[in-house]
Amino acid sequence: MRISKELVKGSTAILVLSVISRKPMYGYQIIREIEQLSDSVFHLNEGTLYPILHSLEEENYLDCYWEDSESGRKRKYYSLTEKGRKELAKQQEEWTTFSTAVAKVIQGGAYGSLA
Amino acid sequence: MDLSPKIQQFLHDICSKIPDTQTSLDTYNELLDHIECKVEWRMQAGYSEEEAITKALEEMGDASAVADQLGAIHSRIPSLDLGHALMKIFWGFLFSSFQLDFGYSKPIILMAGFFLLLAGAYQMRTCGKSFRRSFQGFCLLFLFYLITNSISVLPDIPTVLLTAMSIVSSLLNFVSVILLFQGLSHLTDCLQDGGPHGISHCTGVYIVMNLLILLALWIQGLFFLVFILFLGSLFYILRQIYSLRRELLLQDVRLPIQPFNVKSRTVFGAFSALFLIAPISCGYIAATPNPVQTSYSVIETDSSEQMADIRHRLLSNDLPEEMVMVLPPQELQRLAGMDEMSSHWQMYTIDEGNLSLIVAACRLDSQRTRLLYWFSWDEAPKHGFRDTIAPIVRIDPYFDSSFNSGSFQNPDETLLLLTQKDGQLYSMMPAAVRHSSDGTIQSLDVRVFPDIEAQYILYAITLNGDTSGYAIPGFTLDTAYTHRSSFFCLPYTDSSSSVTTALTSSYQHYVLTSHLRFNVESSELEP
Repeated sequence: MRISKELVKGSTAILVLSVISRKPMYGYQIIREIEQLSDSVFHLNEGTLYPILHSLEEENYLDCYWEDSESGRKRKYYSLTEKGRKELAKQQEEWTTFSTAVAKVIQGGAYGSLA
Repeated sequence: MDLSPKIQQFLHDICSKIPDTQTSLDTYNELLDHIECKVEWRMQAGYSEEEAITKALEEMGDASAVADQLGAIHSRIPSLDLGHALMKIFWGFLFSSFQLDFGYSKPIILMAGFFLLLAGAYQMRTCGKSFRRSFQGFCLLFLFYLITNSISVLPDIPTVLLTAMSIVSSLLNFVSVILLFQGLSHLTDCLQDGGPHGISHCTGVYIVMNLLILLALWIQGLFFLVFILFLGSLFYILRQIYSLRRELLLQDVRLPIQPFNVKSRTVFGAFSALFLIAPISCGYIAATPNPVQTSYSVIETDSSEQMADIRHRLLSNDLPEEMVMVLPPQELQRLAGMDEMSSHWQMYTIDEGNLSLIVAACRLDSQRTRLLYWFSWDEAPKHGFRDTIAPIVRIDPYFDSSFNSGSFQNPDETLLLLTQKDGQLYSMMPAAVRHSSDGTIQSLDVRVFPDIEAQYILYAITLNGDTSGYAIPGFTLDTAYTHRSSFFCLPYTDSSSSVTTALTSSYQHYVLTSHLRFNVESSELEP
């Protein structure tokens, strides 16, 4: 099932921060990781990943370094900074609150209300 | 794999919207890696290269949309105005290399230059490791400067400590400037055509420039030549910095800097506060009662036995008790008409027949002129000196600019002190006298250079038009006590009729361990 773009848009940052929190990754790897972990539910628009990564880097949530890939190309890896870790924890908490509330509302609607 | 024109176009469309060169280049490499990963993956899955590229670029999305987003993100970072930063470095380097002195102008100009360098290095600190380290070096140097100047006015600071701090400051300055040049040199490498190549030579020229300064200090005779070489080196460096600025502006090279944040504002604020507080604290320390008043020993010369002893010592050396030096009237007239005489001390050498004179002159105002003069021994009238005087008679370089300040400016009276070493006349020093309201001497200010090794002051000669002189026997220069004052010169007053004073210099205070008592009116020693 494909999720609407609008729904994914608001949660892209938390997705990116979450996967990078496990290990340093490069752009293409991040997209593949998110896709695999979500059982292909989330398929990020590849071009828009980089503005998100650069934005997070500018906010000092991500650190970056360059390494040569096996094919000899320069490859940029991103890792989570301490500030990024705190931001991730904050966003995870917000997300839990948000998703729980959404679930409650949805469940309430599914089983009928008092009215 | 050769880069496909399609990929090139795609990357160009995106990266051309990113204002900063380095970020643009990094983004280019990052996106290229991503696209090539995709293409390789597709080709492994059986796609042709052309198909794989087309598919990969489709999945990347609209290039202009990505470009707009990236451009918006990176334009949030203010770009460094290289023109301004480099002009700060240019003027900073010029001012901090300033060697001329007009009163207090030198330290002020040097500090202004130093601040400009610091500001330039601060602006460029994010442009590379060399710039960052250079900035850190300048900060450390500034801190050292403040500490050194603050503690230098305190009494009993070991000379070794001050010397060590001075050496550390010089090294920090040296290393910081060299790092700055390395940063600039690296910057030229980033330019498309390499920029002005001479900038990479600036490090070497700067080292030569410093060696020239050292050489000038050692070889006074070649000072002019060395100074010309120094100016040449300075001109070369400034020209290279200016060319670099022009080149960078022409190519519109802009580099990202981090905006001023709270941390950097705090650091700058703290530095500025320290800079303001330091002179005030130094002034406070200087204004406090000086320990010299309790640490020197006083020989009471109002004791007749003591005076007899001093006289005996003088007589045993066959020294006259009083010395009078008179400039021939025609020479005085000549000096009074000299156009070159200014409000500062000037030195003139006059050779007139058998008479050889060295004269120090200070014009106090349009009406009054102070004159200090010295007869060369071979030609001088014999009555003034012993026959055994050594031919080497030093004249202290008291025309140094540091003497244009403090009590040496417009003194009430000027004395000429003659000193003795190993039983021989050793040096001649000017002394500035301040009179108190009742006409007695309030203070006597003498500046002695650190290498002066005089043992006694033989005479203090008044040169205020009269022919009398003050004999000051038995005054010992006590070099054991040194009180440094970089900022201030403090004469010490005992009572209205007698003077106990510290002899001061830019570097050391010498304490007179004897007690001077003389009558200004009669110009005679009181027994």
